[in-house]
Amino acid sequence: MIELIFEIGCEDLPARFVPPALDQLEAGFRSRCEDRRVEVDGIRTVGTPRRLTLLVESLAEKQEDLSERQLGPPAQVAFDDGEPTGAARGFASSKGVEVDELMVIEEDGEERAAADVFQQGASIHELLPEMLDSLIEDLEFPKSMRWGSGQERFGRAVRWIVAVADGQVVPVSFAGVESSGRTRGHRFAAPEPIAVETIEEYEEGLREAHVVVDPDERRDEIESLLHRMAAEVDGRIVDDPNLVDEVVHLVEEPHGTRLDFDDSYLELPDEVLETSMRSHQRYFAIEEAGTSPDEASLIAHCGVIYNTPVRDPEVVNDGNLRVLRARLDDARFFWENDRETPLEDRLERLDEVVWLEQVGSMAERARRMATTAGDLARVFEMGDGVETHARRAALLAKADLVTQMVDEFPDLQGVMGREYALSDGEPAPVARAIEEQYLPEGATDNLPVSAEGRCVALAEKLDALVGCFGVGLEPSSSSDPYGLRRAALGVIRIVDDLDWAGSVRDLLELTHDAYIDVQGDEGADHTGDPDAFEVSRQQLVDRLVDFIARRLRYLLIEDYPTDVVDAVLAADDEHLADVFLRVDALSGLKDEPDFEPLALGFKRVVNILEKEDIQAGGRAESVDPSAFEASEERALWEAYGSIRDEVETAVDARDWESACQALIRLKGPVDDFFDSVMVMADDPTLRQNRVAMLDALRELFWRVADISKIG
Amino acid sequence: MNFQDLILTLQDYWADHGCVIQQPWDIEKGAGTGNAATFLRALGPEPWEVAYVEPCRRPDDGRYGENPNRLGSYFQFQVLLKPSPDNVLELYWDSLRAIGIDPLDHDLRLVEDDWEQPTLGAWGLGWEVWTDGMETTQFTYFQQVGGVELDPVPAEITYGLERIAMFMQGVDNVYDLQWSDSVTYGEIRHEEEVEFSRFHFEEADDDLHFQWFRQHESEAERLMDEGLVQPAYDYILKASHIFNILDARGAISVTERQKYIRRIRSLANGIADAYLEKRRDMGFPLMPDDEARDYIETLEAQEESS
Repeated sequence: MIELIFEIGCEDLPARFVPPALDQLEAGFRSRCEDRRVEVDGIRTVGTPRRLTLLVESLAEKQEDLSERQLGPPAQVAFDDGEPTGAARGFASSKGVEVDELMVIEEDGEERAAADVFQQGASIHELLPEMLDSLIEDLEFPKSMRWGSGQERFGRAVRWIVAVADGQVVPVSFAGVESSGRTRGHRFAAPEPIAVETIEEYEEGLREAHVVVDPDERRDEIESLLHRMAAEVDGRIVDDPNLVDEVVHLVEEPHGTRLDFDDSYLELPDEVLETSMRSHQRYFAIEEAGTSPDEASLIAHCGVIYNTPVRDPEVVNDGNLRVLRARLDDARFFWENDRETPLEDRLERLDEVVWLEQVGSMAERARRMATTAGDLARVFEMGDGVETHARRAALLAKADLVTQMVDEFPDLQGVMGREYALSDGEPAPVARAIEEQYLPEGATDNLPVSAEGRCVALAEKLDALVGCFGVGLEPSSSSDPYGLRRAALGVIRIVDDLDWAGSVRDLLELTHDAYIDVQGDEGADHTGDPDAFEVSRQQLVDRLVDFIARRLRYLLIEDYPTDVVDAVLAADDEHLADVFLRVDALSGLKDEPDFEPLALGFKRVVNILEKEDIQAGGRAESVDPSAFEASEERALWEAYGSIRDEVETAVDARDWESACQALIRLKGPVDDFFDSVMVMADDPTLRQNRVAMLDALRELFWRVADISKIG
Repeated sequence: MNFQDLILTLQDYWADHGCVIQQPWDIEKGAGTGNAATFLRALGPEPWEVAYVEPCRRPDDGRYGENPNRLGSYFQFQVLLKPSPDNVLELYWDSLRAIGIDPLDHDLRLVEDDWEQPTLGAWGLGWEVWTDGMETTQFTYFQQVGGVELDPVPAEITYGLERIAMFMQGVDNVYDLQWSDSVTYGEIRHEEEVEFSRFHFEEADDDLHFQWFRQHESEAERLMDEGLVQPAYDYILKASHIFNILDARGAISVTERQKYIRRIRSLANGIADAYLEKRRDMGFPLMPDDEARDYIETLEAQEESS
């Protein structure tokens, strides 16, 4: 077994390109070995912004020999009276055997010519050039570029290639770069070439040349540097794993320096400080140690990770500190300037900010959100205080968009609204709800917690859904520029979290009403719909109910069986919170022994009814118990009667588990019924009465789910 | 090192490397890329290496001379190397050494920053260069200009002169920079910043500017039809600057903005095609004769087969 070192040296790759490229390098090499029958063990990858490296500790020196029997043409074609034909000679030569080595064997009842083929495994040195050439060519990046006069594409320009197997250079070339046995150290600190024959030499050589080539080692070093910097000032690095991931791939050898800035900047909200440090500079904020991370405030220090072992770290510190001060001065300027104008006074300027061209300005959106948020508070019976605060918060919710701070740092929308509201003297629940309006941002993100925040967050999303769908801006499969899928998911999660029993249709309708209320009569056409809308209220709400139900389905099938989810949604997809409860209850039921036979029975019920619908054979207006003939149908009707009452009671109490438990007791009577009763009796009265009973049964099941979809 | 020495040193360095030292083009523009020495010369097969200072106007960034870091007008030092040489980064690091930034004294880093200029139909991949955390240079491998794929690919190096000078002189306010040993940047430029901010934000006449935009646009189209590539290009630059003023004034809504950008881009795409056509008619004079002949023959063969 031999060692292989394969390094692609490039100009600085973007941090986010490196980990996926390393994964491809490993997977690509592994599959090439498999395809070529080359035994391999101990594959790993390392890399920095300037190099993507594959290290193989144990690679077979030779491809495994191939020995197998291969089938040729049918015997009657290959041999004429036992003499080989042209077809046989062709087959033999294509397999590299003599014609007289061919044999005839029986395969699937047919006589076929066959050959025992033996292929000597090639030396790894013969195979590697092609394997590695194609490995580079096949690497993919989120964005790739050309450079110089070449046509090849890569994440950034490739400048050197190291390919060494068993101490010998493997000839590989890409974009005019030929492989060698020499790597390069840190760009400035160790620019001389480093000869490499073994993995150990490679890693040690680079280490001496100021390159920590293993990303995990760099991460450890970065974390310990940061930890030390923070500890020196009795602080703790603010946890930010994404930033660490990025910085790992911004340096080849991590060095650290702590910036100590003036305490007076701490008057800025922590989020502002953090964003200023992180988004432009990749600095690590430091908070006070000794309190829980949720409560800890920032202190006037931050950590910087840099790349070069410079002569005097103080110089780097001075330069970075000046940059940080300029950033924080900017932020402080925005903070002070912005607070001179109360949020309320910004509504006028918000009128000039277009939200959707067809629908109107951001200020109109805020006014509608205020109406909607207040109406929601009433529907959810949250009380007058909540209603008032929710209206106020929604009205002011978008005002921070026309502040300088949010213009500079869009990520701070909502947070600045909260801060500026507090500074204006707005009540705390108003400020909090302004911040919470954007929650949740994704499927696992935090939900709004305050009652006002829930109303405003819902209003924010419902207003966007109704407005965009109203003017035909529905998301396509590939693009969702207005974030409507996320908005729908947010609506679902908040309603579920509220455990509100109502229908989302009502929420959509009251949101739609706000469009008319706020725009007044002038904004509405003769049908009472907003002028700009292309669809009627009914169509719009139907489409949105459907859209939300589809998002709900995607959310649920992550945790529950798809057929259970579909069965529940088929029966009712509007009462969002109850959908969760029903799916949960039904999934529990699915494993009980009686469930599967019941589902089968119900499927028969549904099939019969569908056939009956098609044939328009009709059914009785209502079931007439006196018209029953068989005892089994009477028994089923009686069972239905008592179970229906239980189901109705359970449904009213939203006790879906009991409803399910009641329904499953119909299994026996349903089985008996189908065993002995012929629904499609010749006598129309008899038939129509039975069909009517099945219809009543179906209605009852549909209170919970269409279980014909299960199994 | 004072501001003018910085410029002179960079000019000397790149002249020694073999660059043509061109001069700014006398039409307002938002970036050095807009100079025909970059925008047009980046196109086509001819090799081209150039360096020059370019004054840039960004009406939206004007701050009445009150912000120590933001300016409505400033200077870029622009280098274009086509095709990008294999040692292009080494050349750049050496240029920093030439102005006294030693890479073993400072932390120099290349941080992903892809460049795009939608009005010019141009984009490329590259970095912003950090010098002890300060962004001092934009480095881009152009992939497309005027909607045309570039082959060969040029490297563009854009030095932010004020940033670099502030870094080197250790000043926190741009107006405190020494331009020469006796005159400051503020003494030369401050009043200009104040007046242009007032003009752009308070006094500029929207109707007049909208009218000018339309006129420049149609004049650019007319000149293009006449085969006057460079005059047409001037009118595109003028239209583009008028758009920047209207944009700074908030006179253009978000959706309208996209339409204006498309209009300018379609002019820029037209001029790129027209320029390439013209260079071809001239036989790509910056290429060695035999290479130009081969190149044109290949183009003709491609056109015939398609």
